[in-house]
Amino acid sequence: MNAFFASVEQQANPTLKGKPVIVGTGIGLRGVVSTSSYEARPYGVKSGIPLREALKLCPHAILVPVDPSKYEFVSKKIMDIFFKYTPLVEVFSVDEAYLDVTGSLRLFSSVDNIITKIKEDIKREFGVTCSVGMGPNKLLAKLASSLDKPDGFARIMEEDVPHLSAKLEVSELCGIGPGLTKSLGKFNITTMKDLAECDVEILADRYGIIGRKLHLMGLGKDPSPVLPYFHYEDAKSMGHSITFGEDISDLMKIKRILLWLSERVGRRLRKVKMRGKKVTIGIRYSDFTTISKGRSILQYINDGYQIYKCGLEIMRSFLEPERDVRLVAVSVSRLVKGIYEPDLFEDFEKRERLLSAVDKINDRFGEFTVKRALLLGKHIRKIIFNPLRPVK
Amino acid sequence: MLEEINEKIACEILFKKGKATPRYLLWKKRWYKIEKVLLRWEERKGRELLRHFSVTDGCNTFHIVFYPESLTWKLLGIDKCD
Repeated sequence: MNAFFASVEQQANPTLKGKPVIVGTGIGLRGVVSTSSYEARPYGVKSGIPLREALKLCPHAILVPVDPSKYEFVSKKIMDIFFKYTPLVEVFSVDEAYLDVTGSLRLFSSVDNIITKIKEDIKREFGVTCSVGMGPNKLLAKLASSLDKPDGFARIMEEDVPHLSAKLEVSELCGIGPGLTKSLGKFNITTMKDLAECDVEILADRYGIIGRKLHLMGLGKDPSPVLPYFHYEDAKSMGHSITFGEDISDLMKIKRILLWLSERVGRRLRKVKMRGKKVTIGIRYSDFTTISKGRSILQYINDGYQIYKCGLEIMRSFLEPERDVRLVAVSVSRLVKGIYEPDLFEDFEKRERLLSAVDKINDRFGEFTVKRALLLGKHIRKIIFNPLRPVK
Repeated sequence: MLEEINEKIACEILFKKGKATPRYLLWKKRWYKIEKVLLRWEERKGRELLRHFSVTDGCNTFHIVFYPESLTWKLLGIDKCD
């Protein structure tokens, strides 16, 4: 989807159409740009940059607060459109999907016909445009989708790879981020062609299994199939983070926010019947220095309060008092599904029953209807329960 | 830009082909004829599934929401054309 969140907002409010729109996350002007409309992009407004900077680049832009439920709903409906054309749909993100239409060609005559119909359906239903890339595998299809934006269609076939690979930088390949690009650059591998020409054993020696995959990527090959939802792997980690409206140095406030984040992580884990064995805490100070530390624990847990207690210990080991904190993050990893590990020394059954009862109430009346006393109070509500208030 | 309102309103709805479509809304003793539903989406709040609609009377844009448990409508925001 092209500038998905901004396009949905423009559809919901036509007065935004044709204007530079910035969809922002976070609190006030301390948040970041989630996405911007195509009208804002010529000014240099990109996803991820601070809102304050975005407004300097494009002062006449209209700021709209992010509305996740709106985008999630539209995204699901768009995915439903894809399912009309093939059952092999791999949802890659809220606004991206891979479709394997090999088996649908007898029904819809050609790929071009399917693409035209899908683009028409999405435009008619939601007023959103999309860019489509076609290729023999996911790597080339994804690459092609970025060639003709917005509202375009491009194809890259295997025979096109030799002409393209010399021009395409490795950073344009899906799966190669800034860190890997930098690392490859140290070995003078900057283009797709360099990657293809590099000896596979050298790459495997340097990067392990990833090295072999990188070599295939250089050749424009991707053996991974389109994985429909019924083949999805379980999550490997779950986490939440928050950037505050103003920097905080008060340890009590930070602790309460840590508890709020931990409770949210615990709730998500319980919803999918998972538990984790490693807790990681991230802190970003006001000067953007970011520290992240994790610790493995003896038991598999999914109780927000246990996550919090463990997180607090980790945080105390590195948090510098009196330093202003900008962001706090909590995540739980080493996840397993369905494990039941009673604690011999604590009243495990009682805690499980309590969690189950609280979950039932919150399922019925909404998140945090029942919450720990530490999360009560006007001040904490201001910080955490209304993080997406409209930006001014 | 949407101006926040957050007030209860009355709505006249057309139920057709499994879809509920707002036709008129009453706000501050004035009826507005809804010309077009621009976007509809759902939001779960606990067990309640709220139905959001972005609608226009051809001039103003309204963000309205239906609360199925209390059978009430609210005008969350308006973008006035004048």
